[in-house]
Amino acid sequence: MTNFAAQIRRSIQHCVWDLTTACNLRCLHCELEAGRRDPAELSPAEALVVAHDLVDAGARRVSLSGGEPLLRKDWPELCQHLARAGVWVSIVTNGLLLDAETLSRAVAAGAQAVTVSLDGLREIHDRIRVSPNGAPSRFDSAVRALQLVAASPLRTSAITHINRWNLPQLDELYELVETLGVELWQVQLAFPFGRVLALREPYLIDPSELPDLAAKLARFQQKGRVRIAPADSIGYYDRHEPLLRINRDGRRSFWMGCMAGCLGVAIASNGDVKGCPALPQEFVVGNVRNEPFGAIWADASRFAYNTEWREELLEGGCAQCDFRRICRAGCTAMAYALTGTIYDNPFCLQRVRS
Amino acid sequence: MSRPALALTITHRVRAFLRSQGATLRPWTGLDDTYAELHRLLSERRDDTAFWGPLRELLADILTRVSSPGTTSLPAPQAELLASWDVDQLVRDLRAALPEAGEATASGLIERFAPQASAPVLGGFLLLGWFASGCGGTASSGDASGTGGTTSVDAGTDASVDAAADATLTVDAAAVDVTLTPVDTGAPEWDRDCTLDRSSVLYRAIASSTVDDFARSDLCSCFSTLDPSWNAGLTELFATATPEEVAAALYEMEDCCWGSPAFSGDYQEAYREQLLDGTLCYMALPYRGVSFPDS
Repeated sequence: MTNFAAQIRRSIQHCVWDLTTACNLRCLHCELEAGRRDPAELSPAEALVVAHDLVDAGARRVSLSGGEPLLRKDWPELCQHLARAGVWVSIVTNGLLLDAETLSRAVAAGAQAVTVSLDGLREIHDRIRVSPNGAPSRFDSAVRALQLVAASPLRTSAITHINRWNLPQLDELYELVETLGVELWQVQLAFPFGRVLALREPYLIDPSELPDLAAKLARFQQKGRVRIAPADSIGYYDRHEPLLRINRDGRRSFWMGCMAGCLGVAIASNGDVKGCPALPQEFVVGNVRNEPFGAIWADASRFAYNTEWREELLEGGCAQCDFRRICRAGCTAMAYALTGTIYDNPFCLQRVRS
Repeated sequence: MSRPALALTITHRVRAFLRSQGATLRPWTGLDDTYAELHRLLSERRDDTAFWGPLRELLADILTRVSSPGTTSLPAPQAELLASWDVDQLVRDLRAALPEAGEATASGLIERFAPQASAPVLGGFLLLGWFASGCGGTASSGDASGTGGTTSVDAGTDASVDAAADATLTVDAAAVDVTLTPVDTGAPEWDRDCTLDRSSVLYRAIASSTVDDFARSDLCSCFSTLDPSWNAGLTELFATATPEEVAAALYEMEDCCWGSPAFSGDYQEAYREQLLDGTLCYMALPYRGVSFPDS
């Protein structure tokens, strides 16, 4: 086997659609550096075409994200269009605008889940999630939002960017999300992208901290009360991985390489298409204004970093790893952000342990 | 005003430079091809003054960081991939690329040298400056200063590469020694919460294997919840299989146990082969984006 990604049947298992770059916060880790609305943002009519095309392309799940997606007025229409066609839709929000009325609209539009960002306990969360206009505690807003969702028919999840500031708080955060009735907690490493690159103090965790992080997440998973969902940036191939990476059948799994452009796709607010929302601008493979989304997706060669991946290009530690053929240097976005190529990824449990 | 805490790698900077010069560099271009592109540009545009200005800016940027690194560091110690290149080879190439004695002049070194150097030499040249003042963070492989490049920092050329080429994800049978003999029942920590009968085949398979305690605890929890048909099926399998087969089955069960719907039905004879060849719980694929396992 030389490239597992080239052998699977490509299908859109998950699309992350950033509806807007407009945001009422200026989060320190934001890869998009969201804040102001991009003048090139898709119009409501254009966005509706994209929603239609996603359905036609067989998208199974779509996460409406941003920026703050609730700042886009037509989010209920887009959600409804997708949901009525049988697409599983979730909304990813910072929670500031999520009140009972908004939640009712989400339910009416057919959304299945709401995910609220939670990046630490009050002080850290508010320090990371900067309000440009002095909004009161963003942490309190997030907690309130999670409580609202948990009391609604929608499924509740929280998402946390793990960084040096909130790493010591994970135990307390777990207790918090459990208390709040969160069903699924997605955790992912902060990337050296966007605003993180401008920070004057250390923010990212060190690779040497990965084993303790993985062990902690595995312990959380074993408790069984909140499903822990580590994103692709956390791994790979240590003893905890089967517990961390549980697939949708509830079976234990392991990292099988980046699936951007194979099983996942991302659409930016201006219509740019990438294999994954975490990938930087260089990975844009087309724009829905120039050609239909379906045509972009259908051309596997545009996602050549996975579909035409070659083992011999691996560098550094990844070139010597026993798992290199299936792992393919872990999370492509993280590898690229760290090294400048997609062929080595020092944020790896296997490497740290060895 | 303090600088950002994070530094980009040389490769990031070179790629940005190449893109700014109109190079068709794909994001999946490998390291060698990236520096080959730099080499090509240097050769092609040697007499283009518009090109050398931005190149000077690139070098000035790197030199600034070299001369005053401050608290800036790479996001991971091994992020600077150029450090994995073979310094000995770079020095040999560098020497070969230099003009003969008497030909060199004090000025215009880059212009004279760069077009003659190989792509790896260019990368190495940039790297040497980068690491000269420890700007490579805490990279253990960054010891390219002072020794004049006589230390190889390339750990990737040993025989392990070939040996690893055939590696698979199957368990190493040698790591598990299942003899199904009576075991010391002195209450090891891993079985504190284990409710399996200690005389059972399932318990003894776990206890006498050499999997770590984390896995033992896990398997014990799993096996304790098996329905009778699964219990009987696995008991038969563990009692009759070879140690290698038991190892494979234990490994697969470690993957399968937690909440797998496979256990909602009865054990079937066909599962035996699937347990042994690692396909019973063949995993679905990961994705990015918030979702629920059953959505």
